Amino acid sequence: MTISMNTILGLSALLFGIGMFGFLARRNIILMFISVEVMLNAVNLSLVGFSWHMEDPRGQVLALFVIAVAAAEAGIGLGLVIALNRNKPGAGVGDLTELKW
Amino acid sequence: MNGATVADLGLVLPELILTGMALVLILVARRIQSTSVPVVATVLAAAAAVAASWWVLSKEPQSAFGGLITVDGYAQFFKVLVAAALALVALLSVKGLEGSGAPRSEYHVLLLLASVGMMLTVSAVDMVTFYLGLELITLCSYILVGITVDRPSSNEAAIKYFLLASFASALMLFGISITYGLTGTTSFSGVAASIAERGLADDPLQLAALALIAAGLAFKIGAVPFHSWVPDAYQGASTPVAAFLASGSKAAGLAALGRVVVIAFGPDSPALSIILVGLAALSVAVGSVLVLAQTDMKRLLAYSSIAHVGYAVMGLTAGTDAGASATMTYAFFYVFMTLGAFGVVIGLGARGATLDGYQGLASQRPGVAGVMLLFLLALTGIPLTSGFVAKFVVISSAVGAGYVVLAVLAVVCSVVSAFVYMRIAVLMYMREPESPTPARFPVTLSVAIAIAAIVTLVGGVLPRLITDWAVAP
Repeated sequence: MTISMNTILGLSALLFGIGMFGFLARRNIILMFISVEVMLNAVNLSLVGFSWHMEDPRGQVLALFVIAVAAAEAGIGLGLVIALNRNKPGAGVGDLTELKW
Repeated sequence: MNGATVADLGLVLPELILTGMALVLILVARRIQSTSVPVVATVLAAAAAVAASWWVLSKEPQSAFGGLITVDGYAQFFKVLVAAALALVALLSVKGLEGSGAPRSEYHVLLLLASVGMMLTVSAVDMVTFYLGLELITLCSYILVGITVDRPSSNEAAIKYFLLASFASALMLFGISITYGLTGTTSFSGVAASIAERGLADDPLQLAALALIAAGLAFKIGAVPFHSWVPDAYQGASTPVAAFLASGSKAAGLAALGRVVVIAFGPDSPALSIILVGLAALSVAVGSVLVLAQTDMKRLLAYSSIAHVGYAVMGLTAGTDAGASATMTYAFFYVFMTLGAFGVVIGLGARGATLDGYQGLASQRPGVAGVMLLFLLALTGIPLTSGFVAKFVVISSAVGAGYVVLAVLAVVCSVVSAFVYMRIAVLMYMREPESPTPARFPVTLSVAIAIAAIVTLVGGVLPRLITDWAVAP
């Protein structure tokens, strides 16, 4: 079975769009962060798809790196959220108003 | 593509030195937490990295690890700059972290690892290393911004920076992925060849990928319209961290942008020129206007950094080697003048945090006021300081490329932003002091400020010492 480049690109663009919408529409820090993860996974999907289609391993290698970086990012992001919650329990993005202009 | 050999390790000696020192500091972190060992170790590692960069540079330019990175004059120029910024920031941190509760050894480990990321970024000639280097910088920077976990403003700055930066990384990564799908390669030169060969220069999908990558990079260097995190992150972070973000991170981001512009997407792409001119014009204009409204010193320097990034990007709009070397010169001089200004802010402690704190400084501490005046003159771009040379080379390269309107805008904006720099000078020299005389600066801080001042002065009087060395990739 062959899957065309356009199908791969279309599916990953759709997933990327969902993640982007989630990031812009949500006001909860964790949900915004999960939306970014959706975007990264859309990228992984396209990388692996292109790589398979072109029979070139580089895309898959890059996808592995992206997964590793996303894991590190998740660790740091959750750590920062915990630090914020110690000082301001239950804070959302709307409460981050100390720094402006 | 040929495989990697052990000899390739010799070419990344500066990175290996910094990584090794970071690992050693992690191992002994608990024992040295309250001593000055981390600072000394970081400065020594940075000095060794500078020496190693010189040594590697003395050989022919070559690529390593199967074409993932290159070791050329461009990379070594920025590696020396990154290592110098690292050493100066470590010296600034001695006083800057006092009483902040930040764990000293972990802090220096993060500085070292972020510098490794910068060195990888500036030598990357492949999308893989390019992405990994940039991510290593940002991952370390998130923690550095939020390292004072007890301060709510630091938490807030770190969360804002984290959310926006991870979003920008995802955008850039999607651009990289589309480019890979269209061109079938990840190496910069391969991308350029494939674009020329397959006639992709006007392909809408390729233009979208280019826009996504440019947006991600613009975010990393804090160019308008992707600048909203910069003032918040600088104000919320400890002052030495803000200095590090303003110096090393910007230089590495500009270096990566330069390589992407000159090698991968080519000087012939009209879309890229439009994007770069837009970024430069918006950054210079918005940065110079918003800086006028600031009363917090770190926020003021943040908006000033946004404007300065705009000037630096102006050099790249030409898409020529001369333009790229103008940007290198700009990055070099800007790093030292901004580190010097941040150094004075750190030295004055709580008093240095707001504009009013500078009232009457000249009558209390004439030496401190004098060096601050030098950095302010350089940030404005007054002749006989490095700031003038830097602005001159980028503006003349923009004129050479035919962007006369952009050059005029840059000159007008530098006059506008002069108001705020000169306001600080007026406060220092023409007002009576209202607060008690600040304490003497510690030796480490004085040394760092002196180095920054010497580079700023010498760069203004004898710019050829640096410009001859700034060779485009």
